[in-house]
Amino acid sequence: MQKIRVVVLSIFTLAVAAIVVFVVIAKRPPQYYVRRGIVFGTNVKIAYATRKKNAKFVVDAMFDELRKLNGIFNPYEPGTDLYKLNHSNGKWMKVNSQLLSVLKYSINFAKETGGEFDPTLGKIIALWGFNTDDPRKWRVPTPAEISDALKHVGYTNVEFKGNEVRLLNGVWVDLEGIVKGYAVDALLAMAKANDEKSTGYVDVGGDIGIIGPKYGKQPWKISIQNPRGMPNSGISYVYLYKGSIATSGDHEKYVIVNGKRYYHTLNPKTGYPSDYFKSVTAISRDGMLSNAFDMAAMVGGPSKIEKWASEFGVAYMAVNENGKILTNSLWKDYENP
Amino acid sequence: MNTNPKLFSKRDLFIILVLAIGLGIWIGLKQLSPAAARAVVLVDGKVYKVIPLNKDAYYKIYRGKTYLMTVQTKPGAIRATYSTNWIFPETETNQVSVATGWISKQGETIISIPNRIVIYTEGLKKKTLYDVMTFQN
Repeated sequence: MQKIRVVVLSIFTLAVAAIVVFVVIAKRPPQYYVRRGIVFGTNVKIAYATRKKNAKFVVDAMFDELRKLNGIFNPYEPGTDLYKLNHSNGKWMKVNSQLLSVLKYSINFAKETGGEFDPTLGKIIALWGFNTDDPRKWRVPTPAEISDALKHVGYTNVEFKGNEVRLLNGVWVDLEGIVKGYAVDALLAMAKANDEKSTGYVDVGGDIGIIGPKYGKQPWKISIQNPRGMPNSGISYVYLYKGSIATSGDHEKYVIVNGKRYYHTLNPKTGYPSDYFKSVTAISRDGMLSNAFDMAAMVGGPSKIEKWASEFGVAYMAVNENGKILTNSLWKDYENP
Repeated sequence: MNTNPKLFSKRDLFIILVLAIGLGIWIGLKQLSPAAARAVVLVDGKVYKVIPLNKDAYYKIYRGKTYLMTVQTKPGAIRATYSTNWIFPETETNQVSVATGWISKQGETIISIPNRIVIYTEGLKKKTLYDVMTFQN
């Protein structure tokens, strides 16, 4: 009897302990699988939690997708789809469906912003050397060089026929102003396709898309980088449950000559930076819109940003050349949790 | 000889409860206790080195035989002191990894895109006030 009693006592103890352990684990917030890396020519961080226990598998697939997208959208790397299009010598060329989709979106956005956003700046960007991460190649071209390169810029030189594209007048397409946003949208779609209730975020070079609220119910607290501070210092915070946020600025790729800063967001009409803002951060429903908006606003400046924000339903925060922070009314919705 | 026909006395139940709660607390504390302070260095997306942040030291980072970066540590912090991409101080260009300075909060990173290096910290008591940062890139 005593032996039976000890055995049963042990079983009950373990059973109760198992229940306590289960309760402790169940009460724990979801654990995020986090992966970082440099892919797609930029710094990427993905935090993902899913009930399906396959977070690592999905995040690894996301990184694979980014590598694939780089093989499509890098305009300056021989062999990519966009490189081939840029060197198609004005002939009709059948293009990858993802490239076609982003190209159409960007041309449409160029029309809606009166050409302030223009995806055909490839030759100008290459002229400045901003097509590489190598600062030894960044330089201020001569006015004659810029004038010559501007002859090969203009979104009206992109024509579509079914799934074929033709580039006229020797333009080169560079989708840098929008493709990170597209990548964010693509990764969010992958996350949701795996598990509609999954949560986390994707950060593709500072363009951030929210998969779902933190631990399923809290907003993600997002810092906006100070354009004149240390790389990890912020100037403001926003709280996002969903949507996408992106930032453009003058503080990553630039050269300073005779005290003047020349940065890589170039005005399609002049070939030079516009010098309106140090940075623009945009929040919208999707990554492509946030990305394209902030690039356009850097060029369009204060006279356009409010109009476009109203038209596209974008919340923005801009830091002007005097360091003053400008926001619209939509932005205030994100300033508190 | 035990003549009590009941399997569990009140004392037995009390022991079960104490053991179970003790186990639960131990597991809970184990889950919550932070790891030792350390920096994780990723090169090409793979863990190159995990550096304990408990002493003053210098470490060199290579890709194969190619030298990429030197990092310095002190208790609770790490910084890049030299990077092969830090080459144009006279034009103030691309000093990002070195210009980042010391990172001493969990959530901060040192990034060198040309060298494809990411350094982040774990187990630090101080944490950033945010989850993630939007930046121009």
